[in-house]
Amino acid sequence: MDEKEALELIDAHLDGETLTDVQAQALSDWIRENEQQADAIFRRIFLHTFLRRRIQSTMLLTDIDSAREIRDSPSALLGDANGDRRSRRWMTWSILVLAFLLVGGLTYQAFFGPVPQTSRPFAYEGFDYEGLESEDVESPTIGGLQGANGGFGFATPWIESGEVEAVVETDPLQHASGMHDMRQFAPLGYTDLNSRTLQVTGRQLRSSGAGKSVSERKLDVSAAPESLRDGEQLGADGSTVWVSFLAQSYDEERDSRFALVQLGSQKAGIRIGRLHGAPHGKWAAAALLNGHEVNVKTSQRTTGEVVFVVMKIDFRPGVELATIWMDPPLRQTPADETKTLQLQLPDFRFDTIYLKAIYSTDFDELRFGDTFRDVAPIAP
Amino acid sequence: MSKQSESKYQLETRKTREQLARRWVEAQPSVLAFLISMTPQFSDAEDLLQEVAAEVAIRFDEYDPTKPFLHWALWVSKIKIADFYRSQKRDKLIFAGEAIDALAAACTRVQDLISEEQQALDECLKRTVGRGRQLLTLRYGEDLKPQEIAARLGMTALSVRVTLSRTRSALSDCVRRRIARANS
Repeated sequence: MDEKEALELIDAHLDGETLTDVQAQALSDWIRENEQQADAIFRRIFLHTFLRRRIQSTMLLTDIDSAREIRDSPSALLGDANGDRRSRRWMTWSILVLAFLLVGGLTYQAFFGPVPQTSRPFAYEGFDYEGLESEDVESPTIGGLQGANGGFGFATPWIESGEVEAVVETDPLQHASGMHDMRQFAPLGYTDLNSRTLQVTGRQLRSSGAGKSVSERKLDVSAAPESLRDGEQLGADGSTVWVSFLAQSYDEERDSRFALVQLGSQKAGIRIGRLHGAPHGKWAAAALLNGHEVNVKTSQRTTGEVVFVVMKIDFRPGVELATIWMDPPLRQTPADETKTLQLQLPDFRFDTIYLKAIYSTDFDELRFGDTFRDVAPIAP
Repeated sequence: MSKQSESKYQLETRKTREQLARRWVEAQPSVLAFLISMTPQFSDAEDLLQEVAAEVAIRFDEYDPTKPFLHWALWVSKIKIADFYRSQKRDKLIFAGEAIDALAAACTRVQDLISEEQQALDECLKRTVGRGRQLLTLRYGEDLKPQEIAARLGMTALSVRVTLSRTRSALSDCVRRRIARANS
C-alpha cells in the first residue's frame, strides 16, 4: 500500500464509510510499519479535526449557493492551483517587494510587536464580592447578588427577581456540582493560543442550578462615550458597542434549560449563552423578538467548556448586526472573517444587562466598551 | 489542620488545578484528533472529549508531572474509548492494539507542530475554490456524509469521495509548501 492509498482509506473511515476487514487490517499494518507513516496518518486525522472545527465555527465557507454556481475544472481545488495564477505572475512579482516590506513589518508587529495595553471599558463587573456562606449552593433563596454594587459603569446595584438567586462563587474548585463538573478545573479564565492571558479578577457569578435565577443591572449610560448614546440608552445608529464575558456551564446536557446573557428588552434584543431555542448543549446566540428567540445561531463549542465571548454590535438604521467570536486571539481586533457567529437583530437599544438561568452556569468579567481592547485586556 | 496549613493546602490545590487547566488547553486539539480517529462520528468524539476532560480532572492527582501530559491524557482517552464501545455496542473498533499505540505515539510527536500547521492551514483554507470548497462546506459545515452530498448535488458518491480526498491532499501540500517557505 502506498501513502495515497492509505490516506484515501483513512479519509473513507473518517467520512463514515465502513472499511472491510481486509482494508482495516492493511491500514493498521501500514500505520505500524514505521513512524513516518503513522505521523502521515495522524496529520490527516488532525486535518479532519481542524476542518470540522474551523468551518463550523467561522462559517468561512458557508457561501454554498454561490459555490454551486462555480464551474471549475476538477483539478482547481485550491486558488493557487488555478491556471490564471501563471498569467498573473508578473503582477505577483511586481508587488512582492512591496508586500514583503509592508506585510513583513506588519506580521512582525502582529506577532512579536508590543501589545497595546490601554483598555478602558465604560462598564465592568468582575463579581468580586463576598461569597455565599450557605451550604445550599444549588438553589439559594438568599445571599445572592441582590444589592451588590461593585464594578463600575452601572447606575444601580444588581436586582434579583427569580425564584432563586445567582450567587458569588469564591472557590469553584471546592464546589463542584458532581464529578463531571469541569468548573472544578480552575476559576474562569482565558489564555489564547499565543499564551496571552485575559485579565481577570477573583470570584465569579454562579447562576442557579435548580429554579430560575434572574439578575439584572442597569448601566450608567452617561459613562459611555457620547457617540454610543441614543438618548437614555446605548446603540446610536452608526455606532459599535463591544461586549465580552467568560462563561462555563455545569456540563453540556442537550436540553432546553438555559443560562444566558441578555441585552435589550423582551420585545427586541439579543441573547447569548445556553439558549432555550438551541437545545444542543452548545453556546449559541439568538435575536429576541416579542419574547421569542429567533434567528438562532449555534456554535460548536459545548457549554461544559469555558468560553471567552466577545461580541460586536453594529447599530445601524433598521436591522442591527451582531458579530461574535468565541476564544479569539487577544493580540488585536479579530477580523470579521474569523467570527464564530453572526446574526441580524431587530432594531433595539439597551441600558440593562440581564443574566437569566435555570442551569448552573458561571459568568465572569463582564465588560462593555467601544473597542475590542476595551473588552479584551491582556494581563501584564 | 491549622489555618496556616489549610491555606497552604488551598494554595497548592489551586496551583495544581491551574496547571491542569493550562495543560489541558494545550493537549485538547490532539486528544480530540485521537478520539476522532477511533470514533469518526464527530458528535461521538466531542462527547467523548468531555468525558475524557472530566476523567482527567478527577484523576489529575495520579498524573506524574515529570512525564508528558499528552501521553497520560491519551492513556485516559483509551480507557474512555474502550468504555464507549462497550456501552454503546457500536461497530467494532477499526484500530486495535499496536495500531492504537502507533497512532497515540504519532499524536505525541505531531503535537508540537500542530500550532504552526494550524496557522498555515487557515491561510490555505481561505484559498480553496469551486467544487472542493463547496464539498468541504457540506462535509464539515453541514456534517453531511459523501452519500448525502452526492444526492444533494447530483454527483456520484465516488466522485464526492475522490474530490474531497484530493482537496484534503491539496490542503496538506499547501501547508507543507507554506511551512517550507517560512523556514527557508
